[in-house]
Amino acid sequence: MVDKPQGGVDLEVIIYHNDNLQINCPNVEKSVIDSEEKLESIFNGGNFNEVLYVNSRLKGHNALFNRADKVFLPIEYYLEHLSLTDTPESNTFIILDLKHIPSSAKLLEQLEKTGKNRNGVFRLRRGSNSPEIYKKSVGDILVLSKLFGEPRNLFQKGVHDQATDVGHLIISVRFDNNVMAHLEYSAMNTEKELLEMEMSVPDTIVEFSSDRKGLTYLTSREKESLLLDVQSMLRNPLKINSKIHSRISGIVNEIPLLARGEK
Amino acid sequence: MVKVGIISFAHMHAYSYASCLQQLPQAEITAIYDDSNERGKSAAEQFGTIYYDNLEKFLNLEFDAVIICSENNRHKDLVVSAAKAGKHILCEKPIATNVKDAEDMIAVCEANGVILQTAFPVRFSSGIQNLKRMIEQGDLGKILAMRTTNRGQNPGGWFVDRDQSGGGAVLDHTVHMIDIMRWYLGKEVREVFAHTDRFFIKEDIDDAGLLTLEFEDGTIATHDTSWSRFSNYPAWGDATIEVIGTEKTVRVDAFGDLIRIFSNTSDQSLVYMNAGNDIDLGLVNDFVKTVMSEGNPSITGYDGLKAMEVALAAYESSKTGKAVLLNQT
Repeated sequence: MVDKPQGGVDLEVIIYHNDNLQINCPNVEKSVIDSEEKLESIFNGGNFNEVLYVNSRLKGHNALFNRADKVFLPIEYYLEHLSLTDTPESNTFIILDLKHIPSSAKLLEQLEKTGKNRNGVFRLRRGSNSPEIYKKSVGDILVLSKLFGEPRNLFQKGVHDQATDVGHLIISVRFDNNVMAHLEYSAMNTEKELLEMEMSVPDTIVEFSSDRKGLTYLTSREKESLLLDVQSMLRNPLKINSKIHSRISGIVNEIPLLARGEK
Repeated sequence: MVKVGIISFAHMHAYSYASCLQQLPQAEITAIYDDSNERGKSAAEQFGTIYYDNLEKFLNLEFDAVIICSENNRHKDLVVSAAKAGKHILCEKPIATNVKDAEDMIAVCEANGVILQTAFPVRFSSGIQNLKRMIEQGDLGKILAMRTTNRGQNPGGWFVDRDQSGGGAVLDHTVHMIDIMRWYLGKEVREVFAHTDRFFIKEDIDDAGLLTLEFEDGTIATHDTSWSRFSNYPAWGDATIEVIGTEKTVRVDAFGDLIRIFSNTSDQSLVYMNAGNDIDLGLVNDFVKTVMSEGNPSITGYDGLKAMEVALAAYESSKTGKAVLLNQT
């Protein structure tokens, strides 16, 4: 049995992986559940804050889902753990990380604010050391369709080498705001999670690369995840409902690399 | 000494190639032919050579080779004339505006025993060549995918006149990076899906394209081509390739070796100065050496044809909204 957090406020559970949450997030009273002991203590009446950051690799963590008021799941976790034919739980929210990585959120906001979200070429490129990266395409399409209009004429190509777990997914899509786009996802030998976006419209080119940021390791082999802004996530979540759920199913079915359950 | 004539300065690359010839001790510019009197005379003066306004008289001169930099739609006639005059040929890209012309050009050069080389200077970028070596040594493992770009500025003039150019940015740029991908893989493209459109310029011709490709060995690839770089952009543009292998993923920009210059004394506060090797010099030097040795060109007319074929397929795919199959056996 899980009690309410201290103060009796709602309990919000955020599932994370790859240490990708901004731990030093001000104004968020959180408890980081990164071990089985800590998880167990929650079930045994231990004290905890209103927001739980729960490592997705902990056995039994999903027992929290029924007890939480809100559960925030990364899109890749959602696709992996919930059958797409199931009815979604009403307390479930999806983390669409393009909206919550501060730099990418800023870029998208800038495009919208300045009306540069039409009549141009958009390219997105992601890379990580896991084929899970392919699943981010579903969330990206959801986010981008808000900005660029409905996606049309989706065409995809994917290749994945099972022996090395390296592969690449290409999605070519035309959005209703007269934007043509390439979205590309690589599972590759890297310690760094990579995100790049660029928009070219008349007289303006807007670019972002996670390779060029404030903090940079000059030594190699450092593990680097793209950090998500938790406050943004809590403020601006995507609640799952049957419409969103079937939209996600539709996108998955258009991308065979995902539909056939490639990792 | 290899004596070289230049046919037409309609394409701005002619100025660079002429300058490269002047830098090579084993080459000299014999004469220039141009159907524009003013342009031809001016170029002849600039490069210290003789101008001809008559192609026949020009081709009757004693020299070994020509570099053809005319409008794209004239490549075929000029190549045929030069080949029949026994001149070896370096032809600006795209080799032609349609497959039939390119096939005829290749055939006439073979029949007359002259070299037909396509001008793909990106092959001579040191970064591009280093990556080729890494691939050949197996450093990247098995190649699974490639990503390429070639975005630059609108050249204007006849480039935006479809009758003379055969197509806009998609034809103008795509051929470069298709050639590099074919060169790296040693395989042909078997499927092309593309969106082409006009976003950046006023003229009624394509200025952007996104191509999704599959090669005959299953390697997948993308190409982003455009005239999206505006006049105040700090560099001309880019020519990049990223190769995703099972062992390594490596990215090269042929124009990526650069120095950033910030200045408060001009409208353009930032300029990227190229600090890489001169790829045009590499191309012209290679052509001159091939002529000297009477060997096989490193980049053939066939290479030019196969690259152009993909660009033309991109137009077709964009028109129909469907993938176009090539090289089906």
